[in-house]
Amino acid sequence: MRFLNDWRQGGRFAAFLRPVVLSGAGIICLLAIFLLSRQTSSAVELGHYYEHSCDIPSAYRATDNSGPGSRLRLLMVTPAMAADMAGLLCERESVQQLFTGVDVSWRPRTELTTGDLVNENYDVIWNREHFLTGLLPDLHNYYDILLHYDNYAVFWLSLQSTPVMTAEYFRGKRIGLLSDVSSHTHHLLPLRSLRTVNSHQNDIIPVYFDDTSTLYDSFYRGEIDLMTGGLAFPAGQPVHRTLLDNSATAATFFIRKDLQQHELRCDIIDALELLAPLWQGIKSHTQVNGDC
Amino acid sequence: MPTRNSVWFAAGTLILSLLMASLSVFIALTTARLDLQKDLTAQLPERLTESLRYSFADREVFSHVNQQILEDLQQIRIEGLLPVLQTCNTGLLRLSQHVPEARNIVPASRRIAVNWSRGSEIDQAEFSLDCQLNYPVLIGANLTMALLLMSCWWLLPVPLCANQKKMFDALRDRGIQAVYIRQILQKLNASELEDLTENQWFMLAMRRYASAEVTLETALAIVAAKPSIHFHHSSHHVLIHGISIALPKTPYFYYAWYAMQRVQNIDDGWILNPAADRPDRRQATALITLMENFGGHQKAINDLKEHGLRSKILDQNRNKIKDELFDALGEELATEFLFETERDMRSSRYRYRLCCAAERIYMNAANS
Repeated sequence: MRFLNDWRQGGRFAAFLRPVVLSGAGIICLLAIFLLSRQTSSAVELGHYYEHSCDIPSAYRATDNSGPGSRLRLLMVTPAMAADMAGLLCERESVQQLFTGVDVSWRPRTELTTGDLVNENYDVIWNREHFLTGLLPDLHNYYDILLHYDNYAVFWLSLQSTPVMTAEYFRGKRIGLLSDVSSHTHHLLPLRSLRTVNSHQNDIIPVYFDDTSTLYDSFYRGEIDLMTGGLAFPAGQPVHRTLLDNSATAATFFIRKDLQQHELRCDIIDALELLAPLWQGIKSHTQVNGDC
Repeated sequence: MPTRNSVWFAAGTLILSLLMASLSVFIALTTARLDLQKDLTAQLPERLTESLRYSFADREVFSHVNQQILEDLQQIRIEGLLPVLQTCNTGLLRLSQHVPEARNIVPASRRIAVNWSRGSEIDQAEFSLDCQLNYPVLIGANLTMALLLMSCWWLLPVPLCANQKKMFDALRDRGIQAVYIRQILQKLNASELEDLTENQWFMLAMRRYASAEVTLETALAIVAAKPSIHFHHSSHHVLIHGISIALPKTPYFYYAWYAMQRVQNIDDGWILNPAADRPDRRQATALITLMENFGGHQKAINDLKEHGLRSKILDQNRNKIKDELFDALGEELATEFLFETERDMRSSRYRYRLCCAAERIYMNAANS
């Protein structure tokens, strides 16, 4: 009570209280400003940016293709020409009759699952046959081979000297590889070659990359001594080559078994021809009955 | 609350609310930027890596991602407990340091940098965050808080320094309430207080202020006044050390009569008491003139004329004066304005004069 009386009268206790109360009120206000003014971001949900799409205008569509899942879906390895491919397919009559649009995806091929194959989530898939049969042994009940590129020549490449296929040559070399273990050209074939010449892992310096673009850039900047590639390798500078494998499989394109329409398969092959610059000097085999 | 104080209060509240609003905006924009940067840093590198895999022409992919990411950015909302920011727009400046910036003039404070790696190379995407402020909320909330703080500042008593505490105790010991003491302390410099603690005139003036007899300004004027005595014949009151004391008419004239004797330095200001059985008619003349000129009681004048100055009446009026001054000033302070006495060697009677020196006595004979 004495304290209260004293406070009311502005006595010595109140005087002592003033700095305490003011400091407390100041701190509370600062805290309140911080907590109340603090802003957070919500709905930050970035999508996947590995797909080019085009929609077929309704005027061109047939009447029975408006249901869900009626888009033509292609799973590629690279984003190269994806937009052009989608655009071209959308203009084709055979596509317009069956689909409401075209999606060309380059979702990382290592993310492909057995479920994708069984559910036939993609109409066309660019991948290695061994990889797909590894996921689904009876793959051929679901997918046909549409297009096949083989007799693909893969080379060891160097900017400094012609590679020599000996363990001594490779010793201490920085070798650029893709971290994608399903890559023939940039992972499996160079490792097999090194094994063939009895070069041990400890003798070389492997440098792993997530994508081919940075692999190439590093090669040209001299950050790696050796890498592997085909004839279509983009030659910015003179490159020394030594053949590694003359009969590699470059690429295989699979198509859903249900899509038997001859004209449609031809149109898809035609669209895939946009990737032709990648297959220079590589022989292709189409698996379509009759000529396109 | 006095007007001047109101202005200070309003100005203080305004300045404080402006400071708080600035802080609020800074915190809102900074936290929004940092939070968005955190979210984008968590998602963007993976999205870019997967979209650029096996790319032979990054610029084409960047162009494609540019278009699609803008749609995602439109969905972003900036929220807080207090909606300080009305709307925010997140834009993309560039995805890579290798491509030109979409917009050139974006201050660093609105930029959001998100690092991502392209193989062994560290690249950086840049976004912009433009927000409109929600002024009603911003001003309303900060003004309220500023008002609360200023009210605390205004209403809570100011802390006392050592001198003020000593004075506080001294005044409270004299029965003055704390609320008055605070008002008194506000008017005085802390350096002055040490001398005033022992100043009896100060204590007297403050007691008169606390009992609402005078204003605080008047009380302080009393403290500062000279130790003099002013006689105002027309109104029959004296002003001692700035304190006005109204006296009954007859004692006043006796007091003034002693003062005149002191001022005129007649017999060094001494007035010999008449003998008990022999009134003094000669000395009564000056007193009668004074009373007649300034409205003295006729009865007292007639008594003086008839009987002369009598020892008994003189003693009675001196005692009356003493009582009045004791009441007004207290015994200690009143003493120097009262009488001193000594025995006259020739007549063996007592004589009296004012203690106060002649130069401290002022006569005001004006009729106003």
